[in-house]
Amino acid sequence: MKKITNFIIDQKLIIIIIVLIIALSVEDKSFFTVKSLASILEHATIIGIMAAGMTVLLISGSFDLSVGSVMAFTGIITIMLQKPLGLFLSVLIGLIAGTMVGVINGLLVVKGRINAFIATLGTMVIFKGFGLALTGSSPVKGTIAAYQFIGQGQVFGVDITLFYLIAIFIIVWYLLKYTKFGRNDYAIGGNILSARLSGINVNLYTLYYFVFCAFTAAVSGIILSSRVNTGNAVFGDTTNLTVIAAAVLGGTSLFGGKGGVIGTIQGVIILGLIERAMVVFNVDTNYQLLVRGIIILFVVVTDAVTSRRKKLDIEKGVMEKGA
Amino acid sequence: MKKIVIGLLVVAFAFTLLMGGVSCKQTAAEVTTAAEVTTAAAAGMKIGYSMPFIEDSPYCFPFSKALQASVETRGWEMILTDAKGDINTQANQVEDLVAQGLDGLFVMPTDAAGIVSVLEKVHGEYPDLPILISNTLTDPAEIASVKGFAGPNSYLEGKQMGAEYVKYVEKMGYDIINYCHMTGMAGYGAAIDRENGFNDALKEAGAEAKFNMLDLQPGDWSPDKGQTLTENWLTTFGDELQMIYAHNDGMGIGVVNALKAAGVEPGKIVTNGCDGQTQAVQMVKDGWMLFTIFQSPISDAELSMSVMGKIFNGEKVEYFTYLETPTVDASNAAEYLPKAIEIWGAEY
Repeated sequence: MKKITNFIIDQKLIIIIIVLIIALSVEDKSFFTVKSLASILEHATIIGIMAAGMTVLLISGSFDLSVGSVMAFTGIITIMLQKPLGLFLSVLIGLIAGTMVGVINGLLVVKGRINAFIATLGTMVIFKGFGLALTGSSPVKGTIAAYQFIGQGQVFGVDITLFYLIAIFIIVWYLLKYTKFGRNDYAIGGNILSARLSGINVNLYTLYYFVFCAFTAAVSGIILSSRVNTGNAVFGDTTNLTVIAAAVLGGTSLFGGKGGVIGTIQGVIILGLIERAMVVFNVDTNYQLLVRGIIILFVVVTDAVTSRRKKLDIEKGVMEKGA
Repeated sequence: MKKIVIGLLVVAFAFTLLMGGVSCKQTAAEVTTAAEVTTAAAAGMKIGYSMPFIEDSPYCFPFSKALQASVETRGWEMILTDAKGDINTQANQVEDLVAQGLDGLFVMPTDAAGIVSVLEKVHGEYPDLPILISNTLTDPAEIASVKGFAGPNSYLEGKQMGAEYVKYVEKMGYDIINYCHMTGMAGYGAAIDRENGFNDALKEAGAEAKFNMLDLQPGDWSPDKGQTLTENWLTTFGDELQMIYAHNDGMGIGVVNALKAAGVEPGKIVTNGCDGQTQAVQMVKDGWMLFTIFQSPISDAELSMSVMGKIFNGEKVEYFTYLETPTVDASNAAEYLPKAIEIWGAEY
């Protein structure tokens, strides 16, 4: 009996996903088709890619509030450079510019010893400010038609963005599971002191995680600016908390040391299914936030309760063995 | 320390979740649309309406209620989505809406330029679906993938406001007037339009030289920011300051509150509003504001619905259908006050 309840609690995300899919399929006959299911992931691409990067950073015990600004900033740089530099170089420089924000964030945190909350809040405002200054507060429009393929193109009947999402998640999954990059991530987030004592260059790796997180935000910036063929400093004003929510919903701890991208993709899918459910069930907009809040709180609270219970079980086990 | 910061983050997150929910207690008086259903539009139509925000905006909330009322009188069914100010969310929602099998789609763009390629994609997939841009113009204003636009023209509103100030300066016989320019939130279409419209009106009247701008700052549409900004301007410019041009009622109300607090006589420093909220109309009546522009969210919603009704009936519609936005000044404020109360409630 206990095994069954434990299984349900452990796999609660999958169960929520299945329940949502069944409910949606019953209400909307056209929902359970490849095209429609794929669109859930297609729509989740921009948030999902950033959530993968955020997961890596959260595991190390830090976080980044500047991802939305980095996304908008990258889009602006890329679109503005299209005319003088052409497609390839503008995308490359856009990616580099966005990723550099991660270098600044990382240096502020590890060298400046500034708290990640304050440091990334600062860069969030600064780079939105840069965006506003560069564009004179008006949106900039893309000039190269081919650029739009990056965010709008279709391959094998599905949006090309779906493949970026899958690729990023496979890469992050591999990095976390099989490389030093990943093992050190969990070690630093689990216990920074013992990580340092065991010879891990904590500062260097923390910097890597900030840079990686900013890189994923830059990639999302390219996709978004291509999808809407526009760069605007106000894009991404509310993105950072959605991204953190997706990762935390997937079981990655805000305290570091725990989590992974398999949970994150489930979190991203749940957020996407909730969005779709709002449309399919035509939920009164007055209640939408309430519904979202309840689902997120349910997952996070059960997570807190079960991890406490597991800890108690382990302690009990140790004590029994000791006796 | 770490725990405190994480606590802060959790609070911030919970706060954003709650924001919309809390602010929706801003109940505008139960909206009863004087539905002038001019066209006998077909009943049973299923429409989708993609809004950029609902509860977060004092204008959009009564607007959404008016949409619902209008849809009910027509016997249509409506799915309404709220993008929470995010263009990516709006793009997703538009695609989700059309997948529901609609007879007509309305879009109020979150981003005037960004929405264009989203609409092109949707039009490519559903070429027979009529799409109407509502309330906020796209950039460029006319695009091939939609049937038209219905709503106010914020550029023309800016011009209208500029012209009012030109009239004022002529009436007072000033050779030069020192003013501050309070814009809406940087990067948003209505703020850009109301700035350009205002400047163009001065240019067209040949009165540019008479208007000496001391400062231009964003007031982010908000009364609080408007008040703080005005307090700073009063300290910096003192008696030099004669006029504050504000992009909406919210900020204009903030300006007046600051003037009242500083003990400035009504009418000594002139300011304005734009929207026609109850408080602003009252301030016009009391002589604190020179004028406001009456932009009724109820007429605005009704206008979009009636244009779509014409499209359903197969009637030909012009691409642009603009909402009438009359000026409310000292001469007619008393007449507009009851209308404002009906739309926004007595306190708003």
